[in-house]
Amino acid sequence: MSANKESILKKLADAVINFDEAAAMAAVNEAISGQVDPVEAITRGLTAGIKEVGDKFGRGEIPLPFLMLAAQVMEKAMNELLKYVPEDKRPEPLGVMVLGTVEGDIHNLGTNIVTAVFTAAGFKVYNIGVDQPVENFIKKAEEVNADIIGASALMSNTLQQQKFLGEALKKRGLRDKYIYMVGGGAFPGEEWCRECGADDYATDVMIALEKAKNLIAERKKRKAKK
Amino acid sequence: MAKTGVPLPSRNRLWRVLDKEELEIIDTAAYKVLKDVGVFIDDNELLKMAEEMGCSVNYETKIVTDIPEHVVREQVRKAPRSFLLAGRDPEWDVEVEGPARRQYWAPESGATDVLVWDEKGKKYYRRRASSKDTLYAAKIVDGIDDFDVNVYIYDAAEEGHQGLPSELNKMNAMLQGTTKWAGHLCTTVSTIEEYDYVEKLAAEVAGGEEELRKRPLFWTVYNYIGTLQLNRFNSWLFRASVKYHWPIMPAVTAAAPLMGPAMAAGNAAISHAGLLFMIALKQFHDPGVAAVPNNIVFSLDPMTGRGGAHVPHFMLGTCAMNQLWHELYGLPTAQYGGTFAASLDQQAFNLARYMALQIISGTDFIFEQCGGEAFDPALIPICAEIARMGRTLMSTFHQIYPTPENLALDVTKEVGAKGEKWMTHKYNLDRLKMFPSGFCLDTDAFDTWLGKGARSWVYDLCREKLKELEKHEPKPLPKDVVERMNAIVKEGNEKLRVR
Repeated sequence: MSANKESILKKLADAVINFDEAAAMAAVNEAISGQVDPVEAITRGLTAGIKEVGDKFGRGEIPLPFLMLAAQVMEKAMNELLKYVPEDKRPEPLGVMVLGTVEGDIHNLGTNIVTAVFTAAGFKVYNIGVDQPVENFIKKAEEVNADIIGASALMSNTLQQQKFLGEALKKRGLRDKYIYMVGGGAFPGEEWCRECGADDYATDVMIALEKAKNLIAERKKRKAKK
Repeated sequence: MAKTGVPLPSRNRLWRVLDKEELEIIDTAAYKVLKDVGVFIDDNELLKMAEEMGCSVNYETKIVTDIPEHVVREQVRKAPRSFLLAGRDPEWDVEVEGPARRQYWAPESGATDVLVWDEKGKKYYRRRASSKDTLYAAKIVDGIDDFDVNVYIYDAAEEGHQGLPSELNKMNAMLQGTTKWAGHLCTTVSTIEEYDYVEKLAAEVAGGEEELRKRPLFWTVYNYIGTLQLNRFNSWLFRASVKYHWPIMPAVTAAAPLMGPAMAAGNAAISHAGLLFMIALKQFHDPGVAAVPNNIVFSLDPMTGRGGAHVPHFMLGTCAMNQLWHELYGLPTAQYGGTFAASLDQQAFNLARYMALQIISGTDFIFEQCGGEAFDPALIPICAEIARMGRTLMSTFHQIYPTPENLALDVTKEVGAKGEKWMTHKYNLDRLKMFPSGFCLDTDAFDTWLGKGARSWVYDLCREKLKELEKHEPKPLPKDVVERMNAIVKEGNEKLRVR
């Protein structure tokens, strides 16, 4: 049974690494019928696969489209496995993120990449799409009890929306409730991050992921101390 | 007589990527894209304008399809082949007389930050750009004769961040900072009314709105956002260009392989489709006003998702599209030469290799786009060096034609095998001007260069040259004109300030 389980877990991981949806779903079915714990199938199978893909991408060994495909396969397989897991037993995501492109801006390549990479890394990402007013970020964050709000702007003339979001969070007394991260192709750097009142920024998805993980970890530590 | 532009050799001498049949295939493919795929427009007014032209419009999805080929062809024919773009000083007028006749140069960026080199600390820092920086760069470019036109280097980002109308402030700086044609008016997030102020501002310089119409001091620039999406800011600008009869330069960037087809041909067809639509729409609503297509057959680096990998895709696609517009539609073209690298030396490398192909494929308006978000002004002399190279190549092209005069066999016989008299022979002395010096190239011998500290061209020599260039002051506008312009900007800042 154990050897069989290990074999199934490897099939799940390989399916993600090879972004092979058919193989992934076949491995999922095998896991279910083989009575492999679905949470273990996710954490030791799918997640192991996506971690390897993410590491390769971070080292510049594979291009972005392969990462996106792997993340899509992972998500589909994971959603299928989660059907067999009671709500209270589901693995906690690393963090919950609300992500979008600010009002006036319809670029979405960057946010789609972040969604894929963060999801693959174990975050639950609510991508609210493009041209989103400040209100929509906050509304969604409140609705899903987010840890992080991420706002992207790719045009120099929509950047100020990132500052407006920071101001709105502060005005409503929500600034400390959320980790606020900013980024995008036109991002001017650290000083702008400070002006926006954000916790951090990134213009590279892997750096964003590391920063997000660190910010979440620091937050957990602070909460634990209290 | 205007002194702008470098005459190009005849079109059959330019680099031709595709034959006529192949160009027509891409042209036909573009019409299929217009029919079956369409364009997304996030503005109801512009959607109505498209509907008036005979397109099918879905107001819910905001997609325009069934863009009729015969209408587009008929409208695009109305775009003038010859037109004027005016400098404040008529000596700097750009008199376009058809495609691929003359080549015009300018550096271009639109950076929101200034990249400042700290000589003492030997490091960079960046600060937000304002219209003062727009003015600073405009003045430098104004003083360099290798640049025919003046396109903004720095955005009025600081004003934008303060909620002020940034394009109005930017154009004020440009119009005051140069006697050359003042380049690009771009999108704003302020309000469409900002363009009413820009019209007033430019009319002050031109001597009235009628005069501005005859002598346009800038054009308006639109960028589709991958693949064929026009956001509402682009829509506002387009509507303003129709209202005020401003010329246009639409640009399309479906970025392969992440936001457009991986092959240059497919991406070119999409780019072409987007431009056909915009130019047709402009001519339908504002016939006879100049429209210059800018096909950016763009690519993103699939390893990072960022732009700047100058793969053959970009270079081939843009050159082929020059050819298509020149040969099938008789219109001049514009091109950006993007480089998104950070270091000066890599930018110089990217620009030079990309510009070389633009030069020999006959791009009419070559905009050396560089700097990304933060522009180091040392890039200006780098761009000038590349412009000089291009200008020299094209203006002395005729020297390779094997005419009896160029072959100079009689002189060769006279000078003889040892060749000692070539240096001072009248034949060569009369032609020495075809061997110009570089703009600021290092021509020292190796030992001298080493002895001087082995200085870097980009980091040391170009920076030194910049100090000299900064001294230039353009011919000022009359005091009363400047006062009225500043008053218009002041009023605009007060009335249009957002948040």
